[in-house]
Amino acid sequence: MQIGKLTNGIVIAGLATFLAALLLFATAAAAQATGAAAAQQKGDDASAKIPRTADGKPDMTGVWQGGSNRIGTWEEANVDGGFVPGNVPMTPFAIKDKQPPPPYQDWAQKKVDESYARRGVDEPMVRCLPPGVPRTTLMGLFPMQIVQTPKMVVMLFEVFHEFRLIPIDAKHPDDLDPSYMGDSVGHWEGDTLVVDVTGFNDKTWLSGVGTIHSEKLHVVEKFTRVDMNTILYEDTVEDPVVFTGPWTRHGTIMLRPGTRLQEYECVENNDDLLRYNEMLKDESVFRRKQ
Amino acid sequence: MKFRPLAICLAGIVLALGASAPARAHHSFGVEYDANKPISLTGTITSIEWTNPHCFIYIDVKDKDGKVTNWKMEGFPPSVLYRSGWRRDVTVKVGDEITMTGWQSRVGGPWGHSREVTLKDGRKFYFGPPPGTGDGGNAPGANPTPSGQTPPDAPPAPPAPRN
Repeated sequence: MQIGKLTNGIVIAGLATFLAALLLFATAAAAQATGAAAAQQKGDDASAKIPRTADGKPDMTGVWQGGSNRIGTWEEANVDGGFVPGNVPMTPFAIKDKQPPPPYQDWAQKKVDESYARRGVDEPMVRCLPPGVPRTTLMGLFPMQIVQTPKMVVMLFEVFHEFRLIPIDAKHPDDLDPSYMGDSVGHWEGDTLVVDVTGFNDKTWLSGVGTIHSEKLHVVEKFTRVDMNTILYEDTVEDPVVFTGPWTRHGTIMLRPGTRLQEYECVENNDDLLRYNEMLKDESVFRRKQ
Repeated sequence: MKFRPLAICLAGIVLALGASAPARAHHSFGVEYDANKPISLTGTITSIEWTNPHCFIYIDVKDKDGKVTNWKMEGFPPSVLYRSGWRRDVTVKVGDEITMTGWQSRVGGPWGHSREVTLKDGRKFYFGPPPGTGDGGNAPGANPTPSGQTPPDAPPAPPAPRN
């Protein structure tokens, strides 16, 4: 029957399209996976053009920003970082549209969901507390400055006046007091700066709304400058108290030449905290209905 | 452990939405502001707070009966405004007449979150971010405002790059 043939044809065409798309996706994924490694090979154009320090390491000194890979004005780079349903958010993880969700244990997942239902009213940053590691690194809207020396990499963040000191080839002190930014030590693996971070308190969120963790948080970050404008970023987050296993994400950090870090004195006029306290008198006003 | 595909799927969606959205400034839009309440206000600036973590512009808005209400509108912190082309005491001043679009607070009242400011000479500046944290709703200008006016649909071009 003609309609049957047509239907079969459509099914076959659809299947062929699907397989072709699958092949394309697999090829693209493989290209992404090997891209960083390829960029590091000697003789690679992009890798050869990046600035290097006297000891031959990629030089990340400069002003950067996470949360966007869109080169343009500050507005253009940061306009759609906020999530709008129906649109794909401008993720900080520019090389992948979708990241795996954090592998929370059931009890912790319930806490995350509850925070989401309350629209993040318990957001630590509302109280002007620092977002910590790894959240700050990929935060959009605000720049960060990297100052790289052979023995120390310093990261300065405009937002909340955060800073990170990353001594190279050092060990964590054995008397760490829990902190928002944790304690970082780094070492070089080829062209990649690997940073091990521990010694955290449990007062920050890992990424978005409600992403809690414990003081057992352990973060391993990899920074690889692959071209003039881009640092590939990977973090692996472990926390045996809240997770069922490690959580690895990939992202990019974008160079912002000419940008100057400025002051961000959060407590100066923090009206939101007062208003949040007011809103909390009746949660039904803002609580998600579903 | 019981296999709950729907629950897992829903949790995954929630996380994909909630956890991957980058942080915007220092708080959730959705606790205080309602993305389904777009507003457009034209009035005279009575005060400007060029402060962290947010700048505020206060404007007197006159309704059709002549009653004046002072609105408080929240925006970006100074560093972000500066990079978007704003200059303190230059771009806008007390006494200037401006139009602000944005979203009203969830509890009503004369305060809101502003997205864009239009000066009397027609120049437009972004004053705050779009709604974040998965709140949904309409962009300012997509729906008639409470006053019955419909602001322009097309978003303005971004200000000139200035770092």
